[in-house]
Amino acid sequence: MANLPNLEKLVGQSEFIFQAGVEKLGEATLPIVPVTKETAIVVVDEVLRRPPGLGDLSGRAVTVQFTGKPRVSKGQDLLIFAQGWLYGASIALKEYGHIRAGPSIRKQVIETQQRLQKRALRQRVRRAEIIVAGQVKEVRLLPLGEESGEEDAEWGEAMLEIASWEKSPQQVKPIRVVYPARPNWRYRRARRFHQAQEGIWMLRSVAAKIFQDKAYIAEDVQDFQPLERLELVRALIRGA
Amino acid sequence: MVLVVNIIPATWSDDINQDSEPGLSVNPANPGEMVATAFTLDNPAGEPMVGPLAPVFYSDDGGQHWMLSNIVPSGVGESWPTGDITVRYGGSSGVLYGGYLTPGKNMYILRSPNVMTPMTKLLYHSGDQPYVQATTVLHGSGRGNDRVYVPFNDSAYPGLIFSLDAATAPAPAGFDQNYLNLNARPGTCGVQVRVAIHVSGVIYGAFYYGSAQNSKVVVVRDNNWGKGNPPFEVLTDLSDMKAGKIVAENFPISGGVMGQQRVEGSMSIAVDPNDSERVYIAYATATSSADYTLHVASSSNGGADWFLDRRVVPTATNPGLAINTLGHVGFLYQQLMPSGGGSNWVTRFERSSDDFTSPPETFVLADTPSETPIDTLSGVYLGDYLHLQAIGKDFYGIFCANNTPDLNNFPSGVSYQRNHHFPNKKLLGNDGHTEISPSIDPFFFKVEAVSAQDDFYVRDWTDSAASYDTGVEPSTNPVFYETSDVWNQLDGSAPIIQADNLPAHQIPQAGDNFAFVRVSRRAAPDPGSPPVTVTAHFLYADFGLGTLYQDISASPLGQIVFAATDSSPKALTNGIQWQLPASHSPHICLAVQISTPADPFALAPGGLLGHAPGWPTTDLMVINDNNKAQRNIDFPMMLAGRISKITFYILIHNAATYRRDMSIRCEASQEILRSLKSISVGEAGGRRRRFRSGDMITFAGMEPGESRWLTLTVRGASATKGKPLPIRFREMVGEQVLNGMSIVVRPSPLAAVIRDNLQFHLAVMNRLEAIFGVEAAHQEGLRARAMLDREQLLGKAYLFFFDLKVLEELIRIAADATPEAASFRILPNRDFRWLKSSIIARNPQAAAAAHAALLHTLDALLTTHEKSQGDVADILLNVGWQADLYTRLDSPKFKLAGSVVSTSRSFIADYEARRIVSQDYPSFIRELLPAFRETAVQVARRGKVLGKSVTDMERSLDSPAALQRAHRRFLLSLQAHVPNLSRRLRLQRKK
Repeated sequence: MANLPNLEKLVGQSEFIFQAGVEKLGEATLPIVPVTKETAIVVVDEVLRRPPGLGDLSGRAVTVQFTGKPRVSKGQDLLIFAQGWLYGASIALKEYGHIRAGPSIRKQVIETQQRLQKRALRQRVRRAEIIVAGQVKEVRLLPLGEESGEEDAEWGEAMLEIASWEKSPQQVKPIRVVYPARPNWRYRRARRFHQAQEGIWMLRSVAAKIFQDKAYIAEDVQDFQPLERLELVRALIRGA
Repeated sequence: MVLVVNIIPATWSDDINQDSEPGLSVNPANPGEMVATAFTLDNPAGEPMVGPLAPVFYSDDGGQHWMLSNIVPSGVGESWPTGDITVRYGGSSGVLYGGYLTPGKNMYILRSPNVMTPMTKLLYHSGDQPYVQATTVLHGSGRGNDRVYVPFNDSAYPGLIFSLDAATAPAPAGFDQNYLNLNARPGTCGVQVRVAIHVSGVIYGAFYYGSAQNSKVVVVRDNNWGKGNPPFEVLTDLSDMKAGKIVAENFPISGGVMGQQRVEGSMSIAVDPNDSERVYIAYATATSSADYTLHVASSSNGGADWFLDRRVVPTATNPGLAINTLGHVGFLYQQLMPSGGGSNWVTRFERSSDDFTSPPETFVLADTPSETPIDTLSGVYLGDYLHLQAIGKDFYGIFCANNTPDLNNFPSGVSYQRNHHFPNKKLLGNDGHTEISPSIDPFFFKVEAVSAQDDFYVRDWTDSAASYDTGVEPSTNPVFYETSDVWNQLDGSAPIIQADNLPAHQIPQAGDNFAFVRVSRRAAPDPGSPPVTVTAHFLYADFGLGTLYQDISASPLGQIVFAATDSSPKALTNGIQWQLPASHSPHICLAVQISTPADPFALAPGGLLGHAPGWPTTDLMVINDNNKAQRNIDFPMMLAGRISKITFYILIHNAATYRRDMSIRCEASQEILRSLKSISVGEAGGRRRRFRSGDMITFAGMEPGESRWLTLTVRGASATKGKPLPIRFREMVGEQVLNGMSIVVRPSPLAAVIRDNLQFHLAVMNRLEAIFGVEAAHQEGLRARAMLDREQLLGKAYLFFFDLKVLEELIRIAADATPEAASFRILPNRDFRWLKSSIIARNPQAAAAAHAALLHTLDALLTTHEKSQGDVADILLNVGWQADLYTRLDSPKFKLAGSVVSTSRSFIADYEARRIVSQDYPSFIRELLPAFRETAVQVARRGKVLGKSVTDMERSLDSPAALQRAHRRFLLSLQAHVPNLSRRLRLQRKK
């Protein structure tokens, strides 16, 4: 069982955080899983975090590979922190840790999760030169630069239709957001965009011969946020 | 027989990511297990990585169902899970290797013991598009090592990093030791660099070189796992004498975008698993994306010469080539075809059994729109590559396509695991009803030559009731000639299977023998399937290496009927009766080849008939074809104790149609070698040396059809009384094992050795009687039989068994008739003197030891005599050799040479199809006599005479064996002149 002082670390590293009841010990929902004493089938009650696009897991049986010598028993309700492992007809996860479920711990986890998100976002807001909300009007590939190779010099650009200017020294004309169209070492965490995408952009200017004119980049995954976080972003801008 | 599967798993049904640029690796040790890759993130929404490990796809049921396993090192927040990625299983090790591009044109080489364990980074290096290939060394030096090759482009040049032992060593696992630039010429290379591995250690590499306007395709080759001296310089181009054969040149390869996929070079290379000289390559030419065209070329002489444009496919990219164990070529590609007002990507797999001479069998795997969905990966719409692999007779591949579940888009059929609705042609989300937009998915496919339930096989090996050959092609156990499911019994009433699930093989004897086979089926048939009759065809050859198979009798066939309910192995209920010729040694190699209408054996209709495994090419006929099996093993008894000394004789025969050195590797465990007083080995008549496992014995300058002897002398086996001592010999070409045989010495007590000696005595006397018609030998045989009938065999009585005068006379007759034996130092008198002194000394142990030694020597002497009289087993070899020689007689003066070639080829085809037999050989030779006379005259004008050999043939027309001998002498003489003739004729033409 994880110690509460580790909660921030657990929340920070986990792809999955969910509450589940232990259904079967020493069994798995996928035949390929090497079953040990640490393997269990759990039924998901509530998901607090999961990778995007996995759908609602509530009510589904998944396999968890516990670490160490877990003292879990059938029927126990746990809050499980895990990383993704196997996805087939069912899902198998490897735990980072688990805590006996309860309303107060659940609340602590949610608060920790929000605190971490806010902390990360605050850093991005501080770092951004401009922050806008809007929609991608058009995307296109830029012509190859002089340093073109197969992988490192291909860029795309997204033209943004601005709905609101949230952080800006001056309201500049149409915003060009460039992004690496192939893996790029320097901007490996930069987001790519597609047409009609809506959200909040936290941007920094970027200069290179290939861009010719002024361009911006969302250099981190966190530099693009869904529109429903606009109030949060505004609050962070005010506090920044 | 065609399986197409969308490999996105059910729990990934919300996936909208562009999962392009696919890779695939099927585990050769277990083809049911496979791993695939694509640009797949760790979340179906296409969001940047949420965890540290990116997934690979995995199937353990032959590709029918897939899952994702997060094992590839990536990073939280990474927009790309990996760059270009390929994975490969090491041959039989099951270890998984990978290479992937990181942002910034660097790459990692990876390893994992299995698909469940995160991969370890072994090496970080600059480079792009690592395309990993791997194999496990099954034989010879480095046996068991995984050899892993990572070709890539390093901007300016085609690079290759490899490890010769990558499976277990800590990082960098040998990858830091071998780094090569494959291009010997100045200038830049293209993006794609590929290698193909042959199990013999031959490695081919291929790459583009030059500019986009004036490009070349270059193939390089190394014959020693990349460690040639210098490496990869076997092929040179005559134009500049630099390493690397220029296959095609002076063509443009201009890039562009075609159907949303960027195209800037495409390449694939494959080598025939049966013949390291046969290699295929696919490459592209283009002045623009509008005329981007794939070309397929092949070489049958190891890359020295190329047949261009076996196939030409316009507006196509992503070639994948593979060659299966039947020699059939698989070609996978994606072609942009007009469709309605737009265009479609059509993914085709072609299979050719005749080098594309006739139209190949074509399977349209996918026919999907090229305009939708919109590309989100900057032109890597389908991917810059795909993959095709052959395991045994089957082809496995992977490609990417629009994933709309429209059955019209998949003419060969398709199955989905992710939620979908075929009638509405809709993808459905994880909730089962939300519509999901089409995206690009990877699709696995398999084209089976034979479906699993139609695939019948004979086990090449059984270690125990729990560990045995499961029909995998090629067979994974290097000892494929000791415990196979073909065997001989002296009683044919029922098959005898021992408690350890091994058949009870018995040494054939003169008179009736019974051949048995146990046939297995790779998968249970569907309920109600019709019964299937499996036909088993039995053959035998002399005990040795390179010896040629012939039918066990005029009726060598047996049948086993498998009902729909039969899924367990079935043996012949009654053995196929056959008679070992009385003149033949009881030591033989027994083989079987099975067939059904849906599952014929490879190289039908002849298969092994007239061949030895490994020839006429380096074709591993037995281990590459699960329809074939052989048992090439002898179990001689040897008196336990220090007194024994036996020399065993192993026939070494050149089954090739040209002069060559034959290399035989000796193998035995140290435990066995320590348990013997001494053991030596060598070519009979040549230098002998202490036996050391791994040593190579070279038989230099063996002529076609020539036989020599390998001798193995073993002294004293007291330390391991009762324990079998296997000593193995393998015929090698380079590092490739073609064939193998075992002598399993059984140290035994006196009574057992006496009985074994008497049975062998009977067999040798039968041979003496049959060959020389000596009545005394007959009487000796009767006396041995009478003594064998006794319940107890005591040493004292045994001493009185011998009639030394008769024995001495019989030895004299055989030795006098076999002068050839002297050159091999097959000297029975030496063993006879030992026997005589033992009897005089009234020492039954010494007598038994000397008797065994004498019998082995006499048996070899008789075989030498028999071979000197001609051998019908070699008829097909003679005719093939003849066709080769006459093909080279290209002067107009040899007017009849063409007819000799065509008649010879017809004879071979008819013989293999059993439309004719050895008795038809004389009439075939008679028909060719005018041509032979013409040859003799033409050669005679240059002072060489073949006429006597022709006369010998005319005189031998009443005996196929004698004719074979005379015919061989003729061919041997002719061979000596053909190179001279050819050289002279070339000179004349130049003048």
